Amino acid sequence: MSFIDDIADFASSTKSFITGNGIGSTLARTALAGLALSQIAKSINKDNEKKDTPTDYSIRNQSAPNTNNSIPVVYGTAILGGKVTDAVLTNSNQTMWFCLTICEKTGTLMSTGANSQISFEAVYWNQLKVNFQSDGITVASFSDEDGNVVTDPDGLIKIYPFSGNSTSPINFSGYSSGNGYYAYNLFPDWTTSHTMSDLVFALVRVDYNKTKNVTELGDIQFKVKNTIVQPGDCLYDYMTNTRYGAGIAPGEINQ
Amino acid sequence: MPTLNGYNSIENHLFVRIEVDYYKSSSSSSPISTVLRFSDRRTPFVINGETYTGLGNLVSITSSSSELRTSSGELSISISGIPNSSIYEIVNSRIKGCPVTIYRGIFNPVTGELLGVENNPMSRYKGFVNNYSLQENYDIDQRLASNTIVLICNSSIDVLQNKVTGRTTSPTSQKKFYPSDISMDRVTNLENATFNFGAS
Repeated sequence: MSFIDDIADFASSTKSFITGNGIGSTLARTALAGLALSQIAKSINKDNEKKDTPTDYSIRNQSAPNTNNSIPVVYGTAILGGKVTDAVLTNSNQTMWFCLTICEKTGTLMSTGANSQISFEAVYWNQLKVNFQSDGITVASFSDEDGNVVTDPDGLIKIYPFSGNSTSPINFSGYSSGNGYYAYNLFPDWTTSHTMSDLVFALVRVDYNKTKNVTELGDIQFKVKNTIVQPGDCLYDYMTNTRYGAGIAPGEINQ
Repeated sequence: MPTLNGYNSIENHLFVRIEVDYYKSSSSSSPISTVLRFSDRRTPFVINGETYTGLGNLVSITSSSSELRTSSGELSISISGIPNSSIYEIVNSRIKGCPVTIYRGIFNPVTGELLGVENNPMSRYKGFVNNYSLQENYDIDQRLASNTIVLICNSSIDVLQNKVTGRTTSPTSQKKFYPSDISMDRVTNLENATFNFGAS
């Protein structure tokens, strides 16, 4: 019995038949399609916006330090720049360290229950692919898609990738050796309280060399790959995550 | 399959399906999961094996937009004639957040039968109860009160957009989730900061 029955009785119309039953199942797909289309529409509209519209802090390009910068979520594979969240000048002004926060660490795969993993597939510096020395962190050269190689930055730039927090160093894909350091042991002035919790990020060390044209932080793009790829896994993670998602309780989602 | 062009007159009715996970019919009863089904027909009608209670003119549903792409949209469902004795059920059940589906059925006005046209009844709206309001209608002559509930429904898009969270690269945002993490503490000072990189 429910209040609907009472209404029916009140109106002397009909007998009610409201009974408990299973819940319909298309919520997830409806929401996915809707959300995806909404995002596409937003993306299209973004291109149409005038230049004097407010700054978009959710862009994928590398961004200068700003407390309004959004930390993106990556499913599948994406190429995106980091948000500069720390920078320190050391070594008598000859070395700069940057912390580039790239994206959120995501949750578990609904399909398997495994923790998602985000790997670094490639790095680009001013649109040129970064090639590392055998240590997997020191830049050896830049190369373009035609095979032209620039060796000027050899030994002057180091990039340390992390996937999850300050104590989760990883290697770039394709390199057997690489980052074996905790972030707070690398970055000047950092302590164990610099945990970079649930973040995918990279520390970049740049040694100044005017002759080699290494005088600033280049436009760095990271190609990152998340093991959350399947639409169902993506949607479930996004819908349930309380940090970057919709925060819907898993029990409220129809399987 | 015949089309609507083959009929001189038609009648359409709306059917509302609300899935309530936590429904309490009285203070002593345990909450149950139930589905509320009702329509603006005067008689009950069965769709997909589920009977929709006919509430006739006691139900009023505002218009909704129909667009090619999924869009956000609000819709209100008013149900009148709720006796005072049923107020407990509404107040103590968790109606907010419940999924709502509205179908439109096209009928033969003479026979009252569902027309055999394609996709009949058709889905008209899918969303969630975002809020509700109760209004009392008191009849002084009869010394009777009845109530009207207005269910304000939002589409899935609205609900997801309302609930979207996320972090920014600010110490406040970082500490909201990780109070002892000071990784973002220097971002504020770094805004518009300059470095004499390479200066000797």
